[in-house]
Amino acid sequence: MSTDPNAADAALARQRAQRFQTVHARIKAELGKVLVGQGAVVDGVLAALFAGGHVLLEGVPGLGKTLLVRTLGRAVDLSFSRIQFTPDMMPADIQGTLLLVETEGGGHKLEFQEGPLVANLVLADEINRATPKTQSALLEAMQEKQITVGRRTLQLAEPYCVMATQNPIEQEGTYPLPEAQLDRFLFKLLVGYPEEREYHAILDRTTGVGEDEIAKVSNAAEILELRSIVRSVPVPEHAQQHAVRLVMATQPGSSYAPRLVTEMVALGSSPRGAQALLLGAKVRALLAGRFAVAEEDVRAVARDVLRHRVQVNFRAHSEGVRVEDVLGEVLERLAPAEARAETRAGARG
Amino acid sequence: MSVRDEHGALGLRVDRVLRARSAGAALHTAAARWAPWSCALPLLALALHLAQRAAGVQLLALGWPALLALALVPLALLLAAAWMRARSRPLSTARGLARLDAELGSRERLQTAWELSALAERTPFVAAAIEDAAPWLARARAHELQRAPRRPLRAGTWLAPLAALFVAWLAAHWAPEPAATVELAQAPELGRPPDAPAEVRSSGAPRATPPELREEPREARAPDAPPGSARSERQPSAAPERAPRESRGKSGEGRSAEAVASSQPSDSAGVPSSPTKPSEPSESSKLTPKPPKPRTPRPETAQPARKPPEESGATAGRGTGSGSSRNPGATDWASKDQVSNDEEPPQSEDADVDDETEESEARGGLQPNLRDRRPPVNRDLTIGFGNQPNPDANGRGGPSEQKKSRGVASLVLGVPIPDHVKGRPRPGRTKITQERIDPRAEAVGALTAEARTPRSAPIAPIARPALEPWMRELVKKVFLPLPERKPTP
Repeated sequence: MSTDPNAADAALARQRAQRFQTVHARIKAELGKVLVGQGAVVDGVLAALFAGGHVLLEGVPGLGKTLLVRTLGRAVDLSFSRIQFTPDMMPADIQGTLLLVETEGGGHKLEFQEGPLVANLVLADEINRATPKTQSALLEAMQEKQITVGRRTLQLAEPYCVMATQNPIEQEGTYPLPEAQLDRFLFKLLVGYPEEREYHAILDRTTGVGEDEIAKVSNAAEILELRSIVRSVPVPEHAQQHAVRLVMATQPGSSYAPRLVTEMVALGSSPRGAQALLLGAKVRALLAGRFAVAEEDVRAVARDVLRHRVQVNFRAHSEGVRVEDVLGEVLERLAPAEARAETRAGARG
Repeated sequence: MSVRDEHGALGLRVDRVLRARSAGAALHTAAARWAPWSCALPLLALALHLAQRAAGVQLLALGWPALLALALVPLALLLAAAWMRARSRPLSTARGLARLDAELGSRERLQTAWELSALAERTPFVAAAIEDAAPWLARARAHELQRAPRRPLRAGTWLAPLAALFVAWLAAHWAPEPAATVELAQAPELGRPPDAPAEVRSSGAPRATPPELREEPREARAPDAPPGSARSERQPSAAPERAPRESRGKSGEGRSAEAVASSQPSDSAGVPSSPTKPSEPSESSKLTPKPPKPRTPRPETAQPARKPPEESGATAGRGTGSGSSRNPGATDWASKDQVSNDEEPPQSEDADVDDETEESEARGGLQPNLRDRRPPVNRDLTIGFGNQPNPDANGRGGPSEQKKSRGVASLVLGVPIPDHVKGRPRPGRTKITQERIDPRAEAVGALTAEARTPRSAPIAPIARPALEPWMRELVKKVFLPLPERKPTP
């Protein structure tokens, strides 16, 4: 058996992957001091942070969404700002505006006052309470990592991550996020209720006198380094093909779309969905101790990536078919390659 | 040998094994699917032979080896086609490596290493991924592929060809022999008495159908020839001898004894009717119209006397327009349910009370009884100006120009209220006032805390409003025909 001649390169990659896992574990441990349970949500938030994406957290009130993001801002030495979205909020309230200030000589000048959007980690709390106009002010920041006010364009500092929360049942007085904005979120994570044993831990931690101190275990430079590690994970052809087919299978009328998608889906995922699939899969592969993306990594993040990118039509609403059902059908239809081969062989026989 | 070649060779070897197995599986599946059909041709041949035997003709007679060949050759061809198709699948290294990855649990490391080793640029992570697959490659070489459990063939799969063999043999041995057929066909003329029944011609053949029921074309035989003659025409050996004797004109004199006997409707045949006799039940069922369904007479009490359609007071203005001012205190306004007849004497007070009670009970008290709307009692306590109305009157306590409506009826929306009462020269118009109310949004019912259940899925359970099936159908009927909103690209 021949060995790989680039052993040094392989050792370097192992070292970087090990570093990624270490930092990830440190941050997760700090989050675990405050947040009980919600392991999948914590992993998703960290994956989005390391993959360079934004996260939309959805859940009923009181489940720790805001606490999670706030604690993450404390654990990572990043500038953190929180925006509580309200219906009367205007774009200038979050982007910043020009203020008339008095100069030393007694004169006046216009000075740009940054809004809370200018930070590394932005918690957009209850984002769907803002009007579409204000929501749209986030589009440029989330995609181009810059904000434009008047003629002034301000580059936002990296790492830049928007973590938004929205409440699914308080629909009164809310504005649903437009598809263009939903598409800019890497993941949409659903925050569920804790388990029974987690309730006990929550009560023990939150009703006593002590309070855990959150240490800063990482910083912006390290986060950027980890992002570069994530980007350097290779994607083999079969995994990439699987990601592409998963995205295409959510589009009605596509050759990979199952019948449920054709009948029940109004809007499928965009190519951003495929990008997000691979980025999320890279983070997962690194955390699993592998150096390349596998199909199972793609499939593992598929629901979080595609959940908000697929819009079901009226017929689906009327028949009680949810996006989760559609995604389940898509994942079942596009089984891994080995299972597909078996199925094909069986069909031929 | 490079890493790619090693992976490639391993993958091809595995896929070759997989292909061979898939060919076996295809053979197995094809046998299970098509073997039961191998009986079809022998059964068909057997049925054909039986039919030929019944008809006394021989169109096709195949020996059992030929029948067996007909039964088994298509099966063999189908199996061979399935096997060839499975064997013709091109070999794929990726498929073989994917199978190994799945069986070894190597998380696609082998397949990934094989694909990444083809890249020109070898980054540290690519090198690490290839190196990571090396231990799995060693294990894969020593690995023996698992066999997929194959369902054993059912008994029917094996029994069907055997049954085909038996049926083919049976069909071949039951085939009518040409000599015997001729002999049987000539038997009535040779030795059987003329009045012998037709059933004795052949012991094995089923009983002949009565000639009246045979459906043979008239052109195929003489106009009055018995049906048996058609069969004799198809047999060239017997036809020349019988033809001069059987064609004896329309009177039927020349009919042979057999023909006469077979043309007589036999009692034992149990044929109830002849084709010339119209089938009465069927004809009557088709032509005779159905008798009218007897109506159950309804008791008189079950059908109350139909009331004249009630009209609201909105049309009360069309009432008596005589404008008679005989009695200023009495009204000439009458609704439609009050049949006004000036000639008739007014009903007594007691009768009115009874009617009102019944009416209010029938209406459930939901609508005001229009009969209540009578002019107020004349409370004219002042001295008027002769026959002229008091100009200072305000409508209360005395005669006035215009009475204000009172009572419940005036409070109900949409109930027409006559704005004129008796005493005016003309009844005037009826005014209907309807109030338009803008629709108001209702508050959405929030989910109560008690209704929330513990988490059973990644998302918190959020109760959807349970739609009744008829509501769902209704909504679908309304909205589904509408054109779907085209998604924005």
